[in-house]
Amino acid sequence: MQASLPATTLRDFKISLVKKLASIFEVSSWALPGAENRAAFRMLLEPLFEAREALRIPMQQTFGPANMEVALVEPDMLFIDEYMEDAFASDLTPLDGTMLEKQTMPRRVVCAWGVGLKMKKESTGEPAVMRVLNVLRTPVVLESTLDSAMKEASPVKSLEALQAEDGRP
Amino acid sequence: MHRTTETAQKNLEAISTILHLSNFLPFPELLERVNTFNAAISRSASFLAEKVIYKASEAFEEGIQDDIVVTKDMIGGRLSDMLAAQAHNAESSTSRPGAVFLRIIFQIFILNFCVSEIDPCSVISVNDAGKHILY
Repeated sequence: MQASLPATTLRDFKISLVKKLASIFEVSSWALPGAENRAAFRMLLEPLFEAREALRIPMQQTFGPANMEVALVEPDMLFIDEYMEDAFASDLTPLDGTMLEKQTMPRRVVCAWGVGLKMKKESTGEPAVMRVLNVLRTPVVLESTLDSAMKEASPVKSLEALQAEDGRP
Repeated sequence: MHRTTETAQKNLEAISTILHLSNFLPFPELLERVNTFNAAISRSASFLAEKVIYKASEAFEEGIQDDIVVTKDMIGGRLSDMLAAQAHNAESSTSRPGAVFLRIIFQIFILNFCVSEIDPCSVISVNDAGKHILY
């Protein structure tokens, strides 16, 4: 992800976000239909912009001396419970031992779902080592969640599958 | 997303440690701002996920290539490839894209858009050996 200069006005923020969203729509063949829906989405961008500004400014200024930072997680990392939280954990309903077995296996992160907070702290020993002290775990999407989502995201059935369901040859 | 009791307990312990180390900072306020930010992202992503439908793309090939570059930059190459792969559903189906997949894509897009403008270097990275790498 390339760093970009922050849009410091609501207008610039909206224009920049909507422009990039339009690219995603083109690639995915998705669309947000209706002028009302688009207007409603633009309204949602106002509190989003305010929330981002409320976080961006203190992270760059007030909280700098304490080494506090927004905590993200890179894609394809192993899931580490100490720093990360499965954003879909509450949606998992263990039905049998299979689920428990899966949860003990190494899990991989697809991407971050939100931000957490971390603090960098240098140890006092020799040699000094920089440690990460977790403050708020970063919610993440796990590989298993994406796999399930992709199965759900394939609504188109083949002609053969439809014929098989109908009992037709 | 529902926070577990265990998670809340861990957070409280971590916050207490931080407060002990640096009692001059209003951490509860910072935590509140983080939670507000995450909630605002979720509301916007959830709205898009509920309303979006398939619509066949009418862009020129040259335009699509530019859009793919932007999409990869915002949500990563793997998810971008998945988006492109499922786009054929627009031609052959009137059904909506999968709800969880939609939600994941929009959540990640909005998060990355916002975070790229906050601090693009704040990443905890853990390699396969379990070693924590700081950026």
